[in-house]
Amino acid sequence: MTLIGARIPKLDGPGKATGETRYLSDLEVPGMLHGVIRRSDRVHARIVSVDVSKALEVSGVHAVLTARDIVNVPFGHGKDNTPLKGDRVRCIRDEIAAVAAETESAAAEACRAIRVEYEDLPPVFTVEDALKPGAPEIHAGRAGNLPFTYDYAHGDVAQGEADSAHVVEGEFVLQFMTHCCMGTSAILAAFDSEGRLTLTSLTQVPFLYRRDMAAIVGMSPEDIRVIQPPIGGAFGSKLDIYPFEPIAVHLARATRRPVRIVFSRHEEFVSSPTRQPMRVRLRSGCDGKGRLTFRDAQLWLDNGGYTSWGATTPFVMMQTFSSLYRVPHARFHTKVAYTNNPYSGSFRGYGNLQATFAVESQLDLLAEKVGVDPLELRLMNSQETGEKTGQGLEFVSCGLRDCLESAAEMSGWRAKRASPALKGNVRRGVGMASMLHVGGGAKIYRSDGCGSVVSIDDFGKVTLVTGSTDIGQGSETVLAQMVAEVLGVAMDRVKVINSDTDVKPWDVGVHASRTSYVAGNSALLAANEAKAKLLTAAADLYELPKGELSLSGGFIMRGAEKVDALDKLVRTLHFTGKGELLVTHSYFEPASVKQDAGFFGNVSPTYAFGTHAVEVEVELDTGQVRVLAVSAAHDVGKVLNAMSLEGQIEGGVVMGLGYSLTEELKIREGKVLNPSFRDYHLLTAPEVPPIHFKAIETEDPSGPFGAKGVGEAPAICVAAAVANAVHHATGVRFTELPLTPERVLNGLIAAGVVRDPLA
Amino acid sequence: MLTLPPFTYHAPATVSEAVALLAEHRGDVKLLAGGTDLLPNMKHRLFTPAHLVGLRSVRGLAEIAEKDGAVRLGPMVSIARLARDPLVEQRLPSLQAAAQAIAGPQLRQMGTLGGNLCLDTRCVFYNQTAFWRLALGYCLKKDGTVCHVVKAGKRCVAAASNDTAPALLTLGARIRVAGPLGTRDVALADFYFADGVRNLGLQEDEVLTGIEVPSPEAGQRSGFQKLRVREAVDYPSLSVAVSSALDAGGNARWVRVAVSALGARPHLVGSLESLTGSKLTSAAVAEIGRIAHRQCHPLTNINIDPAWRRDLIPVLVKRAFETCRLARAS
Repeated sequence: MTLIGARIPKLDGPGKATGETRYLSDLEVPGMLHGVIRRSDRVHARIVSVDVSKALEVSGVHAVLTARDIVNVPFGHGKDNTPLKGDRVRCIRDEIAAVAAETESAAAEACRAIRVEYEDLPPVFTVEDALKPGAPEIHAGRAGNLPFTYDYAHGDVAQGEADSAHVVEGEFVLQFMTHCCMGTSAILAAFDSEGRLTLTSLTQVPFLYRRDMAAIVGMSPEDIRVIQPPIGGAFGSKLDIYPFEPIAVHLARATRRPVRIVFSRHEEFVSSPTRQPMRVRLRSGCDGKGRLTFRDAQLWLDNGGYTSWGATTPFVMMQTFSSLYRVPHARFHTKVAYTNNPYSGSFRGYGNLQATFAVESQLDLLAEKVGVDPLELRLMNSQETGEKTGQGLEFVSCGLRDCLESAAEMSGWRAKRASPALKGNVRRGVGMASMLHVGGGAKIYRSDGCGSVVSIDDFGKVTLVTGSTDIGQGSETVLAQMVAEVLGVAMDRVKVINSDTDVKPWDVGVHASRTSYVAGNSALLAANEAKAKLLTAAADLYELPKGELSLSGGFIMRGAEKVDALDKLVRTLHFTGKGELLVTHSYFEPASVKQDAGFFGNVSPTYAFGTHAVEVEVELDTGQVRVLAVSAAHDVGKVLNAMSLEGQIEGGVVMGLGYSLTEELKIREGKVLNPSFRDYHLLTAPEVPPIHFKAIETEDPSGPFGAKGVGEAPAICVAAAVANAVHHATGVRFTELPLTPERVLNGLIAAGVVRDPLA
Repeated sequence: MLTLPPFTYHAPATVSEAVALLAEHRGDVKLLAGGTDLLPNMKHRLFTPAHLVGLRSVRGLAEIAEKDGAVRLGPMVSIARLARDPLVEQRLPSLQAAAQAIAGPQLRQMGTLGGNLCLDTRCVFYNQTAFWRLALGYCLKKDGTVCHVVKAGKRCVAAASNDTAPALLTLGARIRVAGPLGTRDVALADFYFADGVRNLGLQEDEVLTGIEVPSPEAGQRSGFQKLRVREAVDYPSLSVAVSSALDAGGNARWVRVAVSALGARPHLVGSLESLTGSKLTSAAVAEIGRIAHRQCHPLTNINIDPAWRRDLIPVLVKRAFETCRLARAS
């Protein structure tokens, strides 16, 4: 192999680095109008009246729509949302009216001129309040503000308790976090003269999007074409349809003009989804040696005012409670409750950052009770290749043990763990945490597949048309590598087309760390078929034994001898004889199953594992936590592109560090207090520590070249490792994120580790 | 994108032209130095002046020189230059440290000393978009009558967030202001008021034209510490500047400490006279920290726990004294 595992720059890199790439916010088409949304300034209110008369008077305005002007079809995972709100608003972001105008400023001015009269309703801001008997009902007919509950169990928790020598119990509280995509949410909707709709959209799921959008705007899915332009980040935030998208369609329909909506940064902070805040109550047990006996988890999730795919994150979280390390008995109960907070959505890790924080924090607590090193406790309970977990997850390849040992080694674990460094007012410590996540998609629909078409033109240029979507994670590059590898051509001979539903074959979408695995296997099938066709044709043409032929350097080879050039052979096939085209296609369906009603079943064909060891420094007089180094080991199956992989790991680690230390969307009475990059504290370069990475190659038997997904993995186990390191440094256990210095100092004072400076 | 409201830009060549423009457009004009504070605030519709008077073209406002017993600093000196200027480094160590701790490289390049001294006060309920403030029902500082920090509060408690102010306060700086009636000098300590709506003693038609810092005495040292969420970009959660002059025996001739970013007025800590003539031992510094702590009462005007910010005053006072640098001969 020559290309697999190499350091190959991303194909979209030069365009993005030079500013040549045109994002949706750069895109203007003739006749285009600008859409702006008038949002609610109340968190929970009845809409008494909406007066748009003044908005219609603004020069340049083509249309002003309210709920009265459209067929307002309920949509979303809980079918509880509508594009425009007619009678009631349930959170600060709610869409009441929309304007299309010649300029963005005219549209904004018209929005400001809309008069809305409200009658406030009693609000609910916490899950606890939402679930109280007699709490205000946020959606009529959804009794108890409880759109979803999840229950899962394997084994017998009571037996697990009986088998336990040690039990730890605690509550973990996780915050709102938002994606902070550099490109804000946007859409361009345009109808043609035949009534067909083209949506230039940032969606992660273009084919499901066509179907769902068609239902919302009253069209046939086949009349909707989705074009996916280069995108400035998604991280899960574009898994759902959000109200602004059908609103753009309604505006385009009303004005008979293309309409573009681009969020302002403020709008992006307030009106795009968040990571679920939640409370996790967990009991974990182990026997006298440290072997895990049971886990019993209860979770309460803040859904916000409406239900997105985010409400299904318990589906992923329960895998961590049931199957991260060997757990003979496990129980999981989750309530997802409506509140009048901004509503949460899907976000890289999909609940697993929260679940792993709780589970891995308690592993350290158990290790302490037993009196063993946390690494030893984890190794003792680590899974191995070939195991099937209580939930039915089948680990056909499992590098968890290697991850644990490699992360420990890179971090200097044994020496540093033995003696936490004390230096004046500053304490140092190391902590670790591991993670388990799907590594080849998740079968939540009847198919989790992806289609591909490979063609080779008469100049030998290879085109891969893939159903999959690149949201910046680098799938375009990795898929091109796989195809180039099979066909024995250089990277620059392969073009990937992945951005137009009129052209590309079906795919579920980009989520669940599935693209390298599922789209990769799909591309491989088509590429291998193309290779077989080429070799057969060459064997026939030159009367050579096919088994002795291979593809390399753009030639058909027999051993070291060039038989024919690839382009020449393709031309021969085109222009002589039968006149055959070199086009192959494939559909890959992973060997996973839809789980049953009790959530049992092997939902992914393979699973990703990883361990992070983190070294921190804690200032005792301020509470400031500084991360000195992160050592990350991940079972990636096989390295496909070493450079791209490092990028994924580093990006994920930094995202996880932000979650651990500084990032929190602060919500007060339903309102976002910090809707700007000035006040929402993403980490900056000085806070990012050295990140040491080791790829563990377990060569998954079903993965493309042995690879498995790693897109979400590196963000997942950062926070628990940081909290465990802070505990090692100070002896104080923190169960609430982020670990801001004020939280840490107060914790240190409360635990008596430091004296109140003025006491 | 948040957009700027429309305005007419004026580029006077002299201070008197600038003052005339300010007087002419009184009530609908703002002075623009580096723009790093004003322009984002305009995008948030905190100000929508029809006229901006830029100071870039006015000559003589960007000098750094020491003469006649004072270091003279022009208001248009960029923060970046302040952070690396050799004279500032030698003579006014705390001011250099403060400049180095402001925002990030790009903002330091554009931001100016005068602009930093005249920085608008900041509050979580004020530095927000127009729509956000509408949703809140506005606030005492802008368009409203209610304070959301102090319920039933009658005085705005938005925080002075300029890092150069506490340093210059402890260095005994004076400023020069030009207006329609000529120029006047004022001690920086008298320039700020404890009113977040308007904490500057500067009329709308006045221009800050110079900053004058007495040349350091023998044995004078100064230091600065800033608490912020990240090591770049952020405004202070708390800032502390200290300066002192020690005699040949190591006894303090005087000690000055300023605490800022807590309330509307950078606070020059009082009751430090008792330290005169004594050594600045760690016990003495701890006592200074306690005195400063007693005098400061931060509120939730930013998204960071006020009790923690207050508790950190003695810590930052201690660090500021520990990191003090001696002013060297120029």
